[in-house]
Amino acid sequence: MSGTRKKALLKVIILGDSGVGKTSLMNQYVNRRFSNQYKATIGADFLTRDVNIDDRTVTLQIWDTAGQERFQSLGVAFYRGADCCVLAFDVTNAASFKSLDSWRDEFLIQASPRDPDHFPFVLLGNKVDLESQRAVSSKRAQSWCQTKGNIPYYEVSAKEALNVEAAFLAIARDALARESQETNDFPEFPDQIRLNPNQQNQQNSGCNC
Amino acid sequence: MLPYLAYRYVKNKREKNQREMDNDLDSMVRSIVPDKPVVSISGVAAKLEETSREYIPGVLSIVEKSIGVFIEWRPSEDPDASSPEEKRDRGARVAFSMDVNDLSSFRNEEPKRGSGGFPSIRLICRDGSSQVPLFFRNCSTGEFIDRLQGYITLRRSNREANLVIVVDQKSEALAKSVSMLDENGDILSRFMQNPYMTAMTGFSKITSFVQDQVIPSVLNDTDAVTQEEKIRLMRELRLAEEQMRVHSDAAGEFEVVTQLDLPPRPEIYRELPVSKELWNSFKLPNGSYDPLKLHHLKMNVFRGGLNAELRKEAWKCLLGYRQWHETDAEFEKKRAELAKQYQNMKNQWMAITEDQEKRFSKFVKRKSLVEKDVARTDRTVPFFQGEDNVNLVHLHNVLMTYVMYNFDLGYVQGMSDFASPLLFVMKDEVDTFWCFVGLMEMTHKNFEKDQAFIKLQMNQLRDMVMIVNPKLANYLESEKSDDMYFCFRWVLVWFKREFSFLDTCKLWEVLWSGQPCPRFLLLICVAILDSQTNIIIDNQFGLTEILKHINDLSMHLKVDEILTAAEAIFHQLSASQNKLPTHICQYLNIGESAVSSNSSSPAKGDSKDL
Repeated sequence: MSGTRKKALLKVIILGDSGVGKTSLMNQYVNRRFSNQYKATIGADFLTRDVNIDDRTVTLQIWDTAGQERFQSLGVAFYRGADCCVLAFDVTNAASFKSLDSWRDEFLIQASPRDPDHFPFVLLGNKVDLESQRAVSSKRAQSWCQTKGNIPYYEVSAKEALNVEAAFLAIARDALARESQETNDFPEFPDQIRLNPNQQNQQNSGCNC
Repeated sequence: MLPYLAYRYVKNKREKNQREMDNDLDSMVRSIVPDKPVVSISGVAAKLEETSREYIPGVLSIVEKSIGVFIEWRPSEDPDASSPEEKRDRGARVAFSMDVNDLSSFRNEEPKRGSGGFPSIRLICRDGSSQVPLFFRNCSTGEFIDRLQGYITLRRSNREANLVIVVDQKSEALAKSVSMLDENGDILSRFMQNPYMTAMTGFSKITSFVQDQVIPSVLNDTDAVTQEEKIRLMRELRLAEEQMRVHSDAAGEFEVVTQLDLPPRPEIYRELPVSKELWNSFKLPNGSYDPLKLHHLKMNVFRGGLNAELRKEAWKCLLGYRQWHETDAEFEKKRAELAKQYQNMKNQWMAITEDQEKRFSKFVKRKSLVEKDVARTDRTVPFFQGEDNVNLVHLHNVLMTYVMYNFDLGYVQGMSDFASPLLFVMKDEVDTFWCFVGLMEMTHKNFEKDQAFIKLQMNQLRDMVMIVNPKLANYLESEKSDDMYFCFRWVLVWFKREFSFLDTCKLWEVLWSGQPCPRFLLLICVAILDSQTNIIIDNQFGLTEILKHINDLSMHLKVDEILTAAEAIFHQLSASQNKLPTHICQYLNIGESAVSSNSSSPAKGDSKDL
């Protein structure tokens, strides 16, 4: 019985405008189920799913958040320690695409990863099953991704379970690869125990154990 | 403690290498060893909601697999296919298969004698999530628990007989205690750099006695401490922490405060819902309400809620749409006037053309939010079910008209949750709208952009938990959860997401009575948290797990139990008002600072303060 072995935990945060399908994406990936009647998310919640990657079991902890900006500042504690931020928009809703910049900035401000330029983001364009109503072309989304340091882009449909599995698997793979490089995305010490700026520098210099 | 941590560090490294080797073996084994069910218990039914009478029959089993031992529950294959597909689908939705190593604890409840209920088990996982409660309809829970003991060590919580905890191996327990003090798990590297400071900050929740006496002894005695000794020390630290109440003052220094002894909680019973006859007995012949009996009427609503048939009439008063002093004639006159006003505001947004919308982005944004939310508000409630349901149109109209009524606030998510029960009860767009306006008078601050009022309520909630249950308050602080964010949903939409539709109606009318104090909503929060104390602490839940646990309480809470507990806590606090800090008295409007409200429309007056 090998159950006692520690599983790697990867924390993934989904951000994006209200109604782009964040809850649906999470539920499709974790429970393989779709409903167009999920209530608007209030606060934050997460679901987990174990995946095997190269024979290693990894627990993906996927965080779903509220899509209205004013509710963002309260849940910041949960942004901390994220291994990947998934930005989601609705390909039939141009406004949700335009908000991506502010969602990305918001995340970088709130979660304050150590190296914002290289923190892993992934972009998901949801609702591609509604091709006839498409308002954001794949090309436009891709070129936005290029300007942000080549963020991977996936066109998905939570409703039709299209590409959702592949996208999250890629997210997990990527995050795992980074983990093995022992990249540390967050400063080791939360604000509360920073006594003064000098001491912080000293602490961050790492230990020699 | 140091050598142990160093040992863990090296051990982890070694295990990591070992793991890589194991993986190859693992995948090989997985392909040849078949799953072996150890026990299968039929007649174990899931219950999706506390208030639901529906049990979904299923089979609970323990299965040995090559990758570990799993606890599984599946809905039974229906012997008669007449069972609606919907029901089977609901069962499939809560089916689970979990590694026993992911089990953290479970609640094992026996039914009250003669209640006709079944013994139940609710499994609680390490990540804070809870499986659906399972009811053993044909047998006791004994066999399942006995079999489970073959794989994991269980012990009943000392604090709560219904709670059974999975006991880790001792080493795991200690490691957990240490990591509880340090979220990042890098206490080791910090010890290396600055052992004293690390200890002080890491153990900041512990009394000065422990800081002075215990920690130095641990730090000095670095080599010879046995593992058992460390576990004992850790227990002492915890015990000391529980016995004393510590909080930091503004300067960040630690202050030991003696715990306030509250009197025992009185036993409270809920009354029957107010009937039409009782309600009418408070009326004067002209239809207004006897001002001398108003308090009595409100206390009746507080103690029992309202009969469903009475809601249409009573909610108008409780929400301030109808003033208590208004006669039937006065109200009907006002109602006609307000109907016109409603129509005017409705016409305003309906007249906005698509062309105008191109240059009216603020309006379009609000409209699109309303449309998205109406489509997903309470759609499982029959009143809102199905496509082309006319009630969705009414709900949409009410919310859009509110956007014109209060364009500055506009539409914020959560408002549709407040509006839908009003429509369900009023069955009339205009009445719903004006009741909604009254309800927003009480709640609009929750939706303001700066969220200051939410933060204020969270702080007040924390202050009250500190008084009522300091042990929990300290634990939450040590887990960096004392911002109480996990109660955000409760406070934002007044428990709408935590209770069934009908229970929400009951809870809300109790709150609208404005009795027995302002901020009773927060006392309800305190009561629920208080009931979860042992689960949270005994499972050693951290920030994430606490949030998950609280989220998963949704639809499994008993509204009457919670209301009586909250009321009992109010009486406890009220009885010790002389000893309470002034800010607590102010929140609850008790003690010397209490302001008596003689206003003829207290619902509205109180609401400002709710």
